[in-house]
Amino acid sequence: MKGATMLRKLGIVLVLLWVPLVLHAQQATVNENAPAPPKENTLSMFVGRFGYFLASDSAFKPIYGNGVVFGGELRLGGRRITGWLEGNYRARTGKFSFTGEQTKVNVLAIEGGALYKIKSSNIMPYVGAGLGYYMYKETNQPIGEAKKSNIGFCVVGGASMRVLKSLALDCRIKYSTCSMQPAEYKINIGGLTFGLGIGLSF
Amino acid sequence: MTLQKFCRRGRIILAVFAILSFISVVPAFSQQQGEKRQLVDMNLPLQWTQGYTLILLDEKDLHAVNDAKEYIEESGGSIAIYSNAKAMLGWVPRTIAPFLVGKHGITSIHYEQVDADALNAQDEISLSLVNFFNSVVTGEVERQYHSLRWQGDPLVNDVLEHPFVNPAEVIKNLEDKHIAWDAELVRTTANGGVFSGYSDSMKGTIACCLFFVESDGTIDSNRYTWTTSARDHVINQCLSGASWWASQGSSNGVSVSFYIFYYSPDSSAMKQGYEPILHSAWDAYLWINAVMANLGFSSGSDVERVTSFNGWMKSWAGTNWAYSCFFAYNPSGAPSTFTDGYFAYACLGGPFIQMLYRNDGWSIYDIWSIFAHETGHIFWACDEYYQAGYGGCTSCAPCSSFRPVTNGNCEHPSCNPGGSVPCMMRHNSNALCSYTKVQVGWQTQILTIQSSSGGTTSPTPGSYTYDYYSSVSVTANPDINYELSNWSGDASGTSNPITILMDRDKTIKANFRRKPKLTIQAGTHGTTNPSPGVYYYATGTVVQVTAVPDTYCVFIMWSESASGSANPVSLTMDSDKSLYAHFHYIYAPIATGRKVLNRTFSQAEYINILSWQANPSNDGLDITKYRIYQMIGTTPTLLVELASSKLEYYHRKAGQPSIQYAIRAVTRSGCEGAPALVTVQ
Repeated sequence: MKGATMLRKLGIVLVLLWVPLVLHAQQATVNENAPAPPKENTLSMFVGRFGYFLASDSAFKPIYGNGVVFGGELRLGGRRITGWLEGNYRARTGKFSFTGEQTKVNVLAIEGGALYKIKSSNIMPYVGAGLGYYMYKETNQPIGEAKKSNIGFCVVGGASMRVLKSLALDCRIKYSTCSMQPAEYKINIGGLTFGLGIGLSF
Repeated sequence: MTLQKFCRRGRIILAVFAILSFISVVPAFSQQQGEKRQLVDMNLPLQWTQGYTLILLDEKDLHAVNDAKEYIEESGGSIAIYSNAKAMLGWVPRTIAPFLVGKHGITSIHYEQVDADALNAQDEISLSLVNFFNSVVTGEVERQYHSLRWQGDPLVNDVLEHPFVNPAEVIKNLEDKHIAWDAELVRTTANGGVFSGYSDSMKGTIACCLFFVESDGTIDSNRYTWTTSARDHVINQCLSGASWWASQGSSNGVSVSFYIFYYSPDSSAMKQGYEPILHSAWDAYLWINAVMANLGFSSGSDVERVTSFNGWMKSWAGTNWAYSCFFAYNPSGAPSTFTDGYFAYACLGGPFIQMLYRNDGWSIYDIWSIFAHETGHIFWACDEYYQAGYGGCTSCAPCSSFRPVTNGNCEHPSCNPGGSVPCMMRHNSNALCSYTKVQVGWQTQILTIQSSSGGTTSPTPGSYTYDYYSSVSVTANPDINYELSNWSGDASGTSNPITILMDRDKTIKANFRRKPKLTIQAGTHGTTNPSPGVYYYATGTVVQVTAVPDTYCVFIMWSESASGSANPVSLTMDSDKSLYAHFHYIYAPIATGRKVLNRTFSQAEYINILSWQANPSNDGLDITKYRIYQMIGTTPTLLVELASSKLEYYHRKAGQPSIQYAIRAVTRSGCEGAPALVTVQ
């Protein structure tokens, strides 16, 4: 029953993420027979990314501190609106608040939404918003394992700068929020992520 | 008779005997056929007839008879013959007779012939006793003794080894008669059976039953029928033989009384199908079994049945011993022996004699001596006859293991090259040799029992007379806190009870000593098991003492006769010893507690942290660990056991509610101390 609920939520996320892609595909189909427009900078690319995560829940930092997050992002879109689908993963090792015993946390997020390109030039600033499916697991020897999944939201803002014909640098700030209660405490596993990526446009 | 006269007469007798032996060139059996020879010792005086006395009673109740008998004997008389009759026979000094009459049912005492018909005692046995008395005091018995006796075949091989008696058969027969088996009488023989126990020593009261066996023609032809005169003659002869033994006993300081009764040939119990004289002597079991069955003793062999009968008779008559004698009738014209040449025999040590009316060459006036000779065998007397070519005793060796007395009067040259002396067991002589007296149990030995202070014995210290070769059990009974140290004198060792074989006069002494003392003391905070006090233990006893500390206390060590901390401690009580048990209270540790939250990002637990310090009062104790209990109500549940180096404990996942803990120090020996109770809110 729990697995079925998760799949349903994941399905909703995927549908929402892929609506812009579908719209973009339709736009491309309408213009299929039109004469090729002059080459324009787009946000469509594959971005490999790493970032620095600042948890928004004040209880997170004393246990695990801030840390690095890794991920990959696929953007597909038109001139202004671009669909975006991202997966990222962060893992931290922390200490119990009193005993200092080791504890580990793993968060796997699948996020998706739409980006709006504010300006089309070599530097393309953009903003966007989307939904995310966040899977949380905390394990330690003294207490055991706490695991939970839930849907959250995120907003992003950043800029891509084309440095070669098919290579771009991407700089982004993302804020996500997702609340859940896997064990004794209700927590928010979202936060602010400063990310830097390298994109391969196509 | 002076010794010189006796020796001179003995030499004459021996010379006559030697001449008779020299001219004996044919076997004795054939010698006796039709030949009458006067006995070589027939001139020995028949002393028992002197002063023979008839005591008449006013009733024949056995209890009353015994009462009168005891009274007479206590007064200085002696009783040779008694029965459930109004008459007794014996020897009562004339001087005391007037004092006895009128007491204990004694109506009159006679030394002269009495008119039996004038007596009101008309029962058969009473009349038999009176008639016999008359024959004695009129000199008839004396006349028969000196004139009408002649020696028949020697009584060689006339004694059988004591037969195997299966106790189970005897018990069954006695139980059928509602008589409890006297277990004390059971003694195992070499072949696994039991001695009858009914004829150990010829002393005290002896029941003797005469069986006049009669054939009824149902199996053999009834050729010979007892006549009353023949029966009475046999009775008189047996009374003579019994009186002879009683007289001999009296002369040797031994009281011997015969309780005589008989079954007449006209009794239905005596009727059976066999005519004994037509059979071998070894067929005696045929008529004996039949007679015993008629009397209700039908289990087992002839010896088992007769043993049972003797047991019944002994119980019924209240005598010390009992035996039976079976007579078969063979009047003139009938063979004078059984078909195998035998005519009289007895089982050594009982239970019965088998005799004939006419015994192969012996006068019917010598039935008494044959009866007396066989009665000697019944009471374990050995045969002293030896006849070349026939056998008999062949050495001085004892003839039984029951009372293994040297058969020193055996006439075999290897035993007595110079000749043996006259004896009832040798030639049926009117005399007893010293060996026979011992064999029948007349020799007594004195056992002197002594004891040191600190106890006594059972029998109590003193001198006691026991039969020769009897076994006497003496028990040392120490006073409280004393023990038998050892036996000394003619005994040794520490066995208790000890069995003394009375093969000579003996003196034994039970030496007692105080048992080693153990004093146990305990300090505060504990006790011991056995509890503190003074105890006495038999020397050599290994005593185990356990120190038992009080709650929250620990046993530390032993002092005085033991050391160390082994618990329990074992002491061998080879001397006085003392023990002191030392204990120590185990104080509670000094403890505190607090509750802390221990969390991760999403998870959390409460930890109750217990901290304590060793209690300085426990210095010197070997505290090896601490035990932490969680109190659930008043019940402690062990949470953890920690080495004594640990002075803190985290009770993980303890939850928010308050918990009470008990922290206890534990010694190496496992003793838990007082708890430190800590409540963590």
